[in-house]
Amino acid sequence: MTISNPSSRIRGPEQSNNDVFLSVRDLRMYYEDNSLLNQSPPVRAVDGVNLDIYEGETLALVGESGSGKTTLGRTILGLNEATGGTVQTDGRDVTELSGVQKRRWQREAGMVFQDPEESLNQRLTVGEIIAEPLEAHDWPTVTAATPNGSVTGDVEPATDRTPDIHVDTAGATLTASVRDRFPLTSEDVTLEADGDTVEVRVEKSQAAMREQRVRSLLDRVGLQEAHFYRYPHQFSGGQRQRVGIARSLALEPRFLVLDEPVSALDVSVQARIINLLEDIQAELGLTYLFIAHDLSVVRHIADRVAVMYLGMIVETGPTGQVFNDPAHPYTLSLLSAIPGSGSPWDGPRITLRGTPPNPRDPPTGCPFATRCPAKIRPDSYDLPEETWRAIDELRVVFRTRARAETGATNRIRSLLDLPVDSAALSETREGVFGDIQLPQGVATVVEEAFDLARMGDDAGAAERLRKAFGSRCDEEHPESRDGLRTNRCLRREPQYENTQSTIAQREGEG
Amino acid sequence: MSLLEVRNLRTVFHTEREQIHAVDGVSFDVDAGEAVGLVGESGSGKSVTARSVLGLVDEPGEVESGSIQFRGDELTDGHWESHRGDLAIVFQDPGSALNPTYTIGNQIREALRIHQGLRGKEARSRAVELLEAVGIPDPSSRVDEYPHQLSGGMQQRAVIAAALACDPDLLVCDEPTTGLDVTIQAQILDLLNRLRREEDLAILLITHDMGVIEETTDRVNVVYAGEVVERAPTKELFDDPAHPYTQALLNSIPGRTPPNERLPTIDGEVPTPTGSAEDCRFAPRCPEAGPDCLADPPDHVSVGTEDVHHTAACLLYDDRYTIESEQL
Repeated sequence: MTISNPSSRIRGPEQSNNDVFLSVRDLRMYYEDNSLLNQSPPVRAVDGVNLDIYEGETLALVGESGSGKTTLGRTILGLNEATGGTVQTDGRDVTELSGVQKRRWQREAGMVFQDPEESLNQRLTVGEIIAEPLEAHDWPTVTAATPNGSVTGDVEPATDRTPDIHVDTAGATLTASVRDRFPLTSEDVTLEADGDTVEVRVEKSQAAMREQRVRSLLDRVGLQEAHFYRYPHQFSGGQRQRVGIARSLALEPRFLVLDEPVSALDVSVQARIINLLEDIQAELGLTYLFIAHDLSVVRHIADRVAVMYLGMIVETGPTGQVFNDPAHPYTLSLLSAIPGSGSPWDGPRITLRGTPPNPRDPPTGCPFATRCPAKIRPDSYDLPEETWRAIDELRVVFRTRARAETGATNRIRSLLDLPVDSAALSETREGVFGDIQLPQGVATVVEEAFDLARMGDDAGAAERLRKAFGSRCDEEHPESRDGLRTNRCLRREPQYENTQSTIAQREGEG
Repeated sequence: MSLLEVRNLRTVFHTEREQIHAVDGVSFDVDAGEAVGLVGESGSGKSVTARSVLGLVDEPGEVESGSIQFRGDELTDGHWESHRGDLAIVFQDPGSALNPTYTIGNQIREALRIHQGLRGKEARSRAVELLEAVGIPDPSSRVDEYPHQLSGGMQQRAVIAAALACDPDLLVCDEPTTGLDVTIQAQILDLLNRLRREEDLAILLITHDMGVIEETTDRVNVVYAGEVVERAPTKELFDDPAHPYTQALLNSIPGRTPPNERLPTIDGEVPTPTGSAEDCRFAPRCPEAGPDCLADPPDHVSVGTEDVHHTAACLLYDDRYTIESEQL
């Protein structure tokens, strides 16, 4: 089922001269659940994203699950309502659109979902599934244009897009030409001149045009004619994903959000779908936002990469540069976590501790500071790396405990000002520090924090540690500067050692 | 004697229309303290192999023939019960392996009670130790939490902790990191490597992810349509794959092709093995297949140097045949 004509790829620019297709500024999308009983703060799924997507490129969005990649993609498409910020394309802010304008944007921009099994309606045939968006958008509204005059009849005058039918009035006879990939031929069109106005009649029903469109899409994604009447369950995973791609192409979009389109597929099937996506992009000149967590796929398909963590973009750059010379500690950690020889990082493997912080309660300062292997340390203490990590871990434990529902007994004990579960706390101390010897000044602060925790004030304990051992990373999160290569880590400032050598040194020590 | 010796294992599923030979004559060994991989695409029969080894195949499937020896005892002769606890399994989805209505501690204590006879405080403190051993921070409070309060990576650690509760010699891991983030996957793989080193635990790792195989295993068996088509030390397999299927599979991984080139692909689909093999099951998709490939099922022949155990079931390497192929 390989594509017979492997067209050469248009690679996006390493140094982009292309126009910006879409420009995201300070975009925020918070999930609120303000029921009467639940007054918890909103989940900040997308939290101040700035991002440019260039015409005709593939921009990959990478990050761990829960980092907000899918929400960002959906918010750009208008499937989630933005809490704040703008998404500019063609001189308009698509987050502000409604009605006809919004529907037009949703024709220009489509989405391919991760799991073709879940995203296709099992009760419809493949033909019906692909035709669904055509029906929903009353496609096609045939447009026509003539060089000097107007058109009437079965067609609309062409506005911004290329007209479907071009009427040539040169010479005595009128000739109609139909644009590529449109389900009509000039034989289906009859023309009659009335002064400067041309009356255009289309002798083909909308339904027939739709069916022809669906069949050509099936062919385009490498499925067969006979598949038109089959149901999704009769297909393999790879074929189902082809159906999903055909459907997303139905309305001739310029831009596709591909949300983990190959994650659920076997590697040999995955390779075929990746090739298909690249062929389609080259042929139709599409712009892709490719959401993925598999970095080897990203390295293959993307022109540029944006790395997302806790609702924020922490690094962007051309794919080669980001992979070979990552600037942000989180990017480096992701690359080093690729198993086997796929990892471009040849230094020691960085194993991130713990999980990302809760997006309802993001840390102040840099969101990655709680796990960062290159966190800037305060000058006031000179401690071995091992000790710093233990202190960080203890802070995470206190923060987690402060957020978690403490057991009923502990709550009562803390109300009565009685010490909380002190056995567990001693175990925690033992588990975190083991046989690390703490210098006097450090030990005093740690004891103070434990005293607070014993009285049930875990938040206070975490705060005590932050006050004593926090650094600039806990206070500030620098904005990204404009440019193709951005990095929101404080280590970009000249007074600090850069990320890579810091990590190489610390991992060697730790 | 190997810890686990599987010979000619055949697991068949009886359906109304046909018999599906999900596992069709699979043989492999796992030595004590060793990590062995079974790698293949979906439908290759690797998970059924894992379930067969643990005696977990249910109707309409059955282990039809072959031998599974653990420490020399034939498990298929009803010895599973006596080695219950020597073998443990970790499944792909930790969310469905844990019971949502019991705390993590409860579920580990249950395993401790059944396999070690531990109860009460003793069981609790052992559960905390196990959670600590698998790298769960603050284990003494986590032990009282419910599965939904833990992240995916932490849930998988808890599942591994429960599997370790029976103090197994062999841990079978069926896609243990599929569906986890790459950073969390790295943590779990580190954990498995550490358990092997420190506890001398043997691991049978089943996955479709070549990177995970490369990272974790000593030896690897490539499975295709119910059969092992190539076996080799892991490094040797990646440096010098012999079977055309292994070669094609490795080539289709995106990282191995320069970004501006098309990915090499394998045409067609993995067949469902019905009936016994009468030919090479990969032949219809194989770029190097000749007429003999459709006539005889291939035997494993050595493709490695003398001291390296590297075999492939492919007529290309069998002296009795000459395969006319332009690629050679």
